[in-house]
Amino acid sequence: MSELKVGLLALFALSAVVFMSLKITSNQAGFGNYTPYQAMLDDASGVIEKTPIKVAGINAGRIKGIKLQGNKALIDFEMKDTIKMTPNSKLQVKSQGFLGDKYLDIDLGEPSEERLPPGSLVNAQVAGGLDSIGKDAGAMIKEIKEVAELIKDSLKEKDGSNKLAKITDNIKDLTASLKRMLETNEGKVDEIVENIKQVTAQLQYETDRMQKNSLMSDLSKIGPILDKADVAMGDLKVIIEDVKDGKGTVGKLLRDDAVVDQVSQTLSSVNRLVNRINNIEADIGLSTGANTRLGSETRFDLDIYPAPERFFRIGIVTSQFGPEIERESLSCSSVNGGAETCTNTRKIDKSQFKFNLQIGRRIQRLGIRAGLIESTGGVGVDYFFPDWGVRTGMEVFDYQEDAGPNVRLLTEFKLWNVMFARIAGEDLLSKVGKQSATISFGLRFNDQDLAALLGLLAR
Amino acid sequence: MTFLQTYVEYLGAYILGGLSGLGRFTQFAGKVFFWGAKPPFRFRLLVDQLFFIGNKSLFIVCLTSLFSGMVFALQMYLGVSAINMDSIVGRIVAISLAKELAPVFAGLVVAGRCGSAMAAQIGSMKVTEQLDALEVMGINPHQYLAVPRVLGATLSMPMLCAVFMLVGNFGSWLTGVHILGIDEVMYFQKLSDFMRLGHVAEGLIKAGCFGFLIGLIGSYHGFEVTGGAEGVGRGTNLAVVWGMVTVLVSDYFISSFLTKIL
Amino acid sequence: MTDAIIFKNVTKRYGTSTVLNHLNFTIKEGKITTILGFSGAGKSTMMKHILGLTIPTEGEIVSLGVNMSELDELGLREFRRNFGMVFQYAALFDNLTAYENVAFPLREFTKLKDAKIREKVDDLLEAVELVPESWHRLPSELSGGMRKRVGLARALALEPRVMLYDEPTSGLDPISTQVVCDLIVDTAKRNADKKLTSLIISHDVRASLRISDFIMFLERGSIVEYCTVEEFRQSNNPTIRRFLEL
Repeated sequence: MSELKVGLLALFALSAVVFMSLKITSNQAGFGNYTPYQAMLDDASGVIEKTPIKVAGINAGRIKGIKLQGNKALIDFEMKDTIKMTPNSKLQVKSQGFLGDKYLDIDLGEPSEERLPPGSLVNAQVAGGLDSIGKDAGAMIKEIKEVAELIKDSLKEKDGSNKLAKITDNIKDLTASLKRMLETNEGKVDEIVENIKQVTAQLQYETDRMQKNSLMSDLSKIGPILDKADVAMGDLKVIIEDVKDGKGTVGKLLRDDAVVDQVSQTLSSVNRLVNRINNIEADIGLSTGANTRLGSETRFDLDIYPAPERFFRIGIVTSQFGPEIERESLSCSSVNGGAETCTNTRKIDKSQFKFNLQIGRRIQRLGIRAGLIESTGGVGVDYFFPDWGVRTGMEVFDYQEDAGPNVRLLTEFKLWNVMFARIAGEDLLSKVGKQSATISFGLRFNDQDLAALLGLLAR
Repeated sequence: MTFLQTYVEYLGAYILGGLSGLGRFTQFAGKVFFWGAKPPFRFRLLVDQLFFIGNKSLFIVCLTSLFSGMVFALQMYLGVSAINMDSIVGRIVAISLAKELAPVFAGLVVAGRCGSAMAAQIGSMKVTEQLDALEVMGINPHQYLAVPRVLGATLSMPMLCAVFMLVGNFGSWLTGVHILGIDEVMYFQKLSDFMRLGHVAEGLIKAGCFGFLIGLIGSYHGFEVTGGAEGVGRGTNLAVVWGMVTVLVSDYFISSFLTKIL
Repeated sequence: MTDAIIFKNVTKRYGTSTVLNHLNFTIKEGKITTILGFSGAGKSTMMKHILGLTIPTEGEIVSLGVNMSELDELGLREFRRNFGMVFQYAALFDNLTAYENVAFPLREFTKLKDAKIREKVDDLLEAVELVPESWHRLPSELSGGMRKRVGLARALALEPRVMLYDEPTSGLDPISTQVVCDLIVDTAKRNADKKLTSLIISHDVRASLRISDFIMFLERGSIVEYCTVEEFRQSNNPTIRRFLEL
């Protein structure tokens, strides 16, 4: 059994070899009958015995031999019988592909009754291919050369120099100058171009009556305005005449000297006042915050500095829980002239609003003030750190019989721009544990800020 | 000094060992030739070996060759398509297959598959005294075991090589014409223009030489096995390694020899 | 009684070690002789010499009337057909079935037709009492005892004149040992007309004493004792005494 299989393998291998051999030698046109012919070539370079012979691109024959005869190559080849070779048939050596592989191309030519007898010579020519291109190129170059000579002669000057050279030199100089000019003025040129662009655009805009703000549209508006001005002019003229004559209040004012003096005095007093006012500086602080015990509070303080070392403080503080004020009220009413019934009602008012009203003195960085602090009497001391925007201080106020005074320590520091933060410790000496802390944030405007602010508003 | 001494001794022993091994191998080869020429000619055994080495390796040879041909065509194409010469691929692949790839690859496959099998078979026969049994029965183990294997390998290899060439070219054609789009007519044209029968012959002759060497090496290492199962394993390993190395090294020498002749 | 095998001053050296040391003895034809000895005493080497697998460094061996040294490779090959050997582990060809193993020498060396061969193989296998179910099994599928039987059948295939048994009972259970011993004796008896000489190498003292006619005791390549079983039993040699008491 295995003998059989081995035999099959051997057969398979053998047929593989045979098949490949056939493929290798398959360049030949195949089986069949062939007719021998001959051809004479001037140049048989690249033609070998394996070179295919094709008719219309199909293998149709094979080369039997190549030998030298005289100065030419004699090719012995044979063509398949099915190919009808005629005296018009031509053989050409052509190359194919980039490597220049050669093959013999048979052009059967005009169909003719006459069949080329076997062994006869077929017309041959070497055509195409890179080498023939070379030949043509050679001839062409020769002609070009002749033309070039003619041109050269025509360009010769009488003195033997070259006209063309002169012309080209001139052109060279001209173009060089042009180039330089353009180079140095390149920037300017760009600018000019840009400006021209802008101007033309603008001009276009302005001359368009339909555009809202263009010159043309404005110009068209001027007409009616001018008419009105005309009328006004007329009226004005009349008024001036009257004034000149001393008629009317204004006329009197302008003409009467006594009035003028009075006005003058008044104006100078006003001037002095205004100056003084100008010297007054103000400081406004507005803040809101929360106290740990008394809830939220909002403050407004206005410090007025008539002189740098004196100040007044006016302020208002609102708090959720204000000092309580008891109020007893007796109301008596008699019923129809009879006995008087009197009822005592007690009301506890929580005053939500507290007032600050203090006068103070400023010595360098230290400030001392006294007056109403949160609707009670008290004193306060402040210390300023202007570089850091920090202010610290202590206030003592609200002396109560049982609780003692309210001692408050506070620190205020600038956060950014006009924003500040404030931390205060309240009732620090309280005997009944009523200490608390307040933290608040706010805005503070000093004199310059105010001026800027008002200026802004005026605009 | 002692280190150098031991090293030199070691080196010397290694070289001497190698030489004596070579000597033994040559003697073995001589025996194979001697006994191969003597009757009885065990045809049955030869057929068995041809079946084992040839038919049974067919599948792996076909598989290897198909993909080798395909990848070779692919790589060639990538190279020559840059200069627009892709019609050359068929020719290059066919010639390379015929002259080098088919014999060498088939040789490696057979060395791996059959060389190891030979060494293992003969080696295990040795350690189980079967070789002695043959001897006692009056049968020369070399004649009985080695000759059919060597001869079988020598005859099978060209067959496998031919198959390799065919399938490899098929793979190349498949890839080149149908996947890479090389013009089919040009593919075959170029092939037949430049390939010669000599190329194929060279490949087949090389394959035969490789087969001979593989058979010899495989059998030799089988006969040299000592010491039980481990020895068999060692022998098998040596057979494969030496078989493959010999194929690749002798490839050069045989090729240079054949180019002068063919 | 003719001498089947004669050793004349046979010495075998491997390098510096002497394996066989000036041996001089004869093995009687038609008898069962057992060669006893410790491991490495030279028993297997001696057997190789008898088969002509090794050549002595000194001396000569005459087997069945033929001087071994006069035989060339081919002659030796021919000559070996007179010997049948049963190996320690049977040494069956593992790619052939039991049947084919036994048929192998017949196919190789005789021109008998297939039918005849089949007949002979059947007889041989029946003689060694191998069950027919096992006949077509591969050696790997057979037990040690079965393999030994097949080996014996194979060794007898060509009707040898000398049977060599290399450790026939090693690795067998007592019952199989008994069976093998019986087989050896049976074989000798059946072929008594052909004067079959049986030569056994063994460690198994008891079995050897039971079946043998002669005992040869080897120690370190030299013969300590070569005598009949009875004489062996009564030997005063201290080594033999020790051996007997094992």
